[in-house]
Order: sequence, then structure tokens, then C-alpha cells
Amino acid sequence: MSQTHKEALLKMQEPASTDVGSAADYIALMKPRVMSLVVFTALVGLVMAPGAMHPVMAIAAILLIAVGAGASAALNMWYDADIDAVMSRTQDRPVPSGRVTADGALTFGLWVSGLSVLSMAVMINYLSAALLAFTIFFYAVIYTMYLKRRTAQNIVIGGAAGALPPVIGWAAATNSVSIEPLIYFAIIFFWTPPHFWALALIKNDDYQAANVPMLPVTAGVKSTLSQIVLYAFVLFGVTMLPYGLGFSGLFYASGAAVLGGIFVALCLVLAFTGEKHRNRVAGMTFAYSIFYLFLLFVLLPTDKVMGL
Amino acid sequence: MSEDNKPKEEVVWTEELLRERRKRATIMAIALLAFIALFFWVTLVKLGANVANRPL
Repeated sequence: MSQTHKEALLKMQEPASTDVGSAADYIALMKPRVMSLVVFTALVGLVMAPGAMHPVMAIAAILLIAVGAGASAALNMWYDADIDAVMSRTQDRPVPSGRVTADGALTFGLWVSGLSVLSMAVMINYLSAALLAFTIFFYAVIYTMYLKRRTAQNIVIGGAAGALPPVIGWAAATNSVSIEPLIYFAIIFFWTPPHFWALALIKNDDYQAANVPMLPVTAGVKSTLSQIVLYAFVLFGVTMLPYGLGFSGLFYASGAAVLGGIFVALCLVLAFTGEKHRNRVAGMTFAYSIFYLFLLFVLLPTDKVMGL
Repeated sequence: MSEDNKPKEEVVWTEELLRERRKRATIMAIALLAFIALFFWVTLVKLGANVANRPL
């Protein structure tokens, strides 16, 4: 850049609606931590699928799923900027903090969504592109714009969006969907409520202030705790299905039983913990739930490789 | 006072902001180039041996 151009830019006074977001802000818009779980579960779906996919195609598919997930996160941050600004956990996000404008986040989210879906259709196959488009639509429109502010079942139904990546991975590899990816979908689907409700218990005041009808806000702590325990038991049963239906072996089943047993025990401890220590145990349950899902999805391909 | 008549806050383009903007543009350019490379690479994989076996 020439010195004159630089000086002209330095002198330029623009309205606050100007986007001053850095590259890091735009990366933050894509919720990289959530994206990492999406990438990982999609990769497991792809690896578990029968047949071999060319490594370049596999890399392209995973990248596009990651980009699509990031785009839907940007759309979520655009729409939720008002409630993000109220909650301590989210008020430093790029839009509520003013580093990225709402228009900037919307434009970015729409362009990247379109680009990821079209590229998926051209590079991989139409089925995975359609599933990716549906996932983005479900998360950004059905969950973010409709469910989140209206019903305590927001994250139960909305959890479907987060559960779809292994199905997309499978579809990318096989151009079909069968029972196996649907079981992986069910695992994440039933894992989501206890995971989020543990966090909602800790951040109850935040959700109340932001008027988000999370279960602890609408139904109270007691009811939330019993729902957490109920879902933990259902999740335990669902994680046994890959073994029960015969597409995973004993290695997976025993690992899933131990991990699931610990999760159920933690949820029970949480349910019977007094108010004084509840947030600490809820924090442990939330942290363990991430570790639990991660290890479940490590067990699946490991079991396949070991062939037990 | 209506929304339109409110005095707008102004952004002063400091050296640091300009540096961040340059960095953002560079990263965007790299991402676009990587995307083009990915498209090219996938095309080669899809065409396979037909890349070499074509009328010139």
C-alpha cells in the first residue's frame, strides 16, 4: 500500500457500522470449538462407511462440512446478537462486542453456506449436499430463529442439526444413508439435552436475563435434573445399539458401557447434589459429556479396525 | 430524535486496525487460493486417467 493511500485511509472517518472485524473475529464467528466436534463426528461417519473413499475426496468432504457448520454458526451469531449481548458467556462474541457488524455476519454466513453446499454438490454428491443444506437450514432457521426463543424443547429438537454430521460423512462416502449413520445420529441426538442442560443449570441466571426458555428457566431445576437423568439412561441404551445390531464389536460395547456408566452415575450424583455444590457437579457433568462423546466416536472406528 | 438523525459513531482507522484489515485480506486471499486448488485437485481425482488420455 502506498504511503498516500495509507494516510488517506487513516484520515477516513467511517460510521460505527463499519466492519472492523479481524480474521480472528471471522474465525470466531464460525464457532471453531463446535466445528471441531462436527468435523470429528463427520469424519467418523465417513470412516465407518463401507468401501474406500479417495483421500482427496474425503478431505474435500470434511472441509466442506466444517465450512458449512461454520457458516450456520455465523448465521446463528447474526440472529442471536441481542441475547448474546445479555449473557456473560457470549457477550464478547464478535457481533455483540461490535467488532463485526450484524450485516457482515449475515453476509458472511449466507455466502459461505451457499459456497459449501454448492461445492459439496459439485465435488462430492447431491445427497450429502442436500443433507448439508438441510443441516444449515435446521440450525440457522428452525433452531435459532424459531425454537430457541419459543420452547424449552429448543435444544432437544434443535439437537438434530448437531447430530447430522456423521450422516453427511456417511452420505459423502456412499451416496446413501443406512441404519448405521442413523444410530450415530441418535447417539448425538440423545447426548445433546443432558450436555446442554448441565450448562444451562450453571448459566441459569444468564438464560433468565436473556429470556431464553431453557428447561431450568421454564420447568425449574428439579425437573431439569430428572430430565438429565432420564436422557442419560436413554443415551446409554442408544450407545449399545451398534453392538446390539451387530455392526460394532465387543471392544466398542465394553468401552461404551464403562463410559456410559460413568455418565449415568455423574448425572445421578448431579440430581442428588444439594444447591451448594450443584454448579460444580454440573460443570463436571458438562465437561465429561464432551469427553464421553469424543471417546464414543473414537471407539467406533477403533473397533472397526480391530475387528473384534 | 429519530434513528436516522442520530449522530453516527465514527471509526478512526488506526495503524493497528489497518494492519488487522491487511491481515484479514491476506488470509481471505489464501483461503480462496486453497479453495481453487481443492477444486482443481478434486477434478483431477474425478477425471483420473482420462486427464492424460485426451485429444490434444
